Amino acid sequence: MVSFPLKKVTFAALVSFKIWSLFVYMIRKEACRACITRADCPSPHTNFNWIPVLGMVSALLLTACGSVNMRDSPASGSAEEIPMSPVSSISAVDRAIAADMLRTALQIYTPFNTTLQMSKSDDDPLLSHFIQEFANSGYGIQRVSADQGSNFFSFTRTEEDSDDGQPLIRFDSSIGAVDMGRDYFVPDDKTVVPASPVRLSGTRIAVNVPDESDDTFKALNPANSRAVYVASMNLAEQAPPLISLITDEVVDQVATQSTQSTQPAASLQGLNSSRVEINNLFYADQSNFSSILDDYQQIERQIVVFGNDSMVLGNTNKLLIEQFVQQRVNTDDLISLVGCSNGPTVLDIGNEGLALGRAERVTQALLSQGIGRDRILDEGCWAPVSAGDKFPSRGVVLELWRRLS
Amino acid sequence: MIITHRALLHRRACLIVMAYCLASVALASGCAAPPVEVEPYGIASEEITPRIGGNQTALEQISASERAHLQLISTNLISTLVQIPRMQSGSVTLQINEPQTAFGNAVVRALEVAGFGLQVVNADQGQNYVSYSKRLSETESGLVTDYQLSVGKISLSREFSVQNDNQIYPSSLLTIDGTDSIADIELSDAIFVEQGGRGDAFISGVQLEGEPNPDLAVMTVDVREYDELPADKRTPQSQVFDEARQHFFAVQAKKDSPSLDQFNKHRRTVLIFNDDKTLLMGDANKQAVRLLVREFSDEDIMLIRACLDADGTSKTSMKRAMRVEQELLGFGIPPESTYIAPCARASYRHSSDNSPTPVELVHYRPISAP
Repeated sequence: MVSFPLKKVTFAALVSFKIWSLFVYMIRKEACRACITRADCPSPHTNFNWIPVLGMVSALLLTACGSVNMRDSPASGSAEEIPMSPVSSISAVDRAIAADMLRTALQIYTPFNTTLQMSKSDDDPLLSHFIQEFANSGYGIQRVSADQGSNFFSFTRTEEDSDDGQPLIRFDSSIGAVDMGRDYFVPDDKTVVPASPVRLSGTRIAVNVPDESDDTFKALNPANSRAVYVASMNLAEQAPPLISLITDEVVDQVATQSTQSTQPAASLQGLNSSRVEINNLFYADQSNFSSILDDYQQIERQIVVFGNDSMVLGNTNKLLIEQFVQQRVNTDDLISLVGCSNGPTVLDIGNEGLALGRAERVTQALLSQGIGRDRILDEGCWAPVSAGDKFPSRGVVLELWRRLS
Repeated sequence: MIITHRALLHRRACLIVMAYCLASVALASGCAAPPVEVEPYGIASEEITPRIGGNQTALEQISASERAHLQLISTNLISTLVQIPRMQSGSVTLQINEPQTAFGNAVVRALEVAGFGLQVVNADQGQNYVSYSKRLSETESGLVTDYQLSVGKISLSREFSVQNDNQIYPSSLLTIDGTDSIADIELSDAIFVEQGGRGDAFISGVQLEGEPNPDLAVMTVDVREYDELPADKRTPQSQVFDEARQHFFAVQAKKDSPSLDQFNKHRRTVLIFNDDKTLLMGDANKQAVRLLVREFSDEDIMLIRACLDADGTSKTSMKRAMRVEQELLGFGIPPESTYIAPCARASYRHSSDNSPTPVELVHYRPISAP
């Protein structure tokens, strides 16, 4: 918006005109001093007629000079460095993939009570597109400088060739603990064909994958129009920091055990599959996670039995767990696991390794069914002698807990 | 002799004309050189256009210096907002309408930069609905413009006036309504001083709406010509918000120091940041926080100990502690249940050491808890 500086123009013109008048007067005066008679006096119109022109030109120049300094000229050089979201620059293929991912996300997270954390960077057009689309869908958007927040959004887009040489885009995204992924064939730069079902982990929400074809998105294989639940990463890959248990009771027990006991006994603590330190339930009266379960009630209890000195799950147990998850588990439920090994063992890992190993094996089976890691509370019970009726000798106790309504 | 005299006089006249011409040319050529001091500070519309729901047209209708004024005003109001305990930007989502005015754009952009979650709504939905206004008043002391920002029940307002044609200064105290937590608020009034001035002055302080405040601390801030900073040296908006948040956390750490004698340690973990500069936690650390907060109960406390600096005052450590606190808030831990332990002097880490950096996170439970 340009504002015309009328006052400055008028002022500059007046000043210039005054200066010019003064000079003309002085010139005439000096010229007239040389005149013998009035007739000899040179006429300004004949001898100095170029002076007014010069004066006017100067006045105009000065006036222009005054008008250069306009109020709205941006002084900050950095203004141009902030890019606007180049949403329009992404390809039709990426638009279709983003829309497909958004359809899945909308079924997992309710827009109007979910805030997503997204990177502050404006460098990636695809990220900018996602931000716009999520905002349009009603999600709260929080721009963050690192990976802050419980619903931090991230994605990876990998171009590769399929086994039969077709160009393929592998798109994986995550929102908080939930991972979503799918592969797409890209036969040309305007067509996307789903090459796999939607991969989900960290959630058991039933997701509908309608795959409606349009100009860009071509659903050619109905077998891919579904969601499958997979484990996001194997346990070793995630390797969160150790979370140790440091209650006074544990400290006292450890001290007592190390100073008084002469017989080798079962250890008091171990690490579960999430590297959270837990008490050995053989000695404890209540679960390590009892405070979490305060607001929950137990819905179901099952025991998965393992072979002697074995951590092999076997087909029967796999089927049992799959049915348990598919038929009984709701989205917000918690699953408590107690891996047990009570009685003599010949394995070097001892009862502790066997009990926690069994719990970890069942945890893996649950994760592969899409259960979020934070929904699984795994612990163990181990001793070289029987635990009586309290826990099985070689098995994992599965308990399903649902929030009190 | 007469001829000589006339010639001399004509020569003098010509000299005067030449002098005038030279002066005119010199003045005219002076126009080509860029003005040195008179150009006002201003910013482009992109700098205050929100990335979500921005209305650039409204911003292009005002001058660059007016945009700069709006940025200063919105920065001033929102740097105050982030120091209110209930308004911790890491855990609060605000509901906004798409801005229609230049001031609205500036406010939304500032909220975005401050790190608030923003949700675009079509009416006045939500507990943290954002509204704002700009009112022009003719008063006995001249024209005064009053800017007001409301978030839910919290409201902030302050008057501002333009001086010397280009500088904007507060012309009132900042008034807050809807919260009692104003005692430790530190206003970011230094951003107005950076504009410079001609011996101008403004008042600085925070007051509660409609309530006498016996602890009211008001100060007069003088602004001199030499205070003016060039555009690239002025404090960026994001830094103003960072400093406001740091001040808030520092005050909270001193004020709300819990008596740990009444608590037992329950769990402990050590989060590892890849180096001394990064605030990126990574999946593994986030997973650990997620698992740790599962067991959190209402009376519990999460203690964050990040400082390992040799001199006992490390800003980067404080940033890491704040980053972990933000993460806890993001998982629903209330701000009053998190506590950043003061920076302890530690001699084993040199300031140039950029190796992986630990942050200790300890979960405390009241002694009476089962």
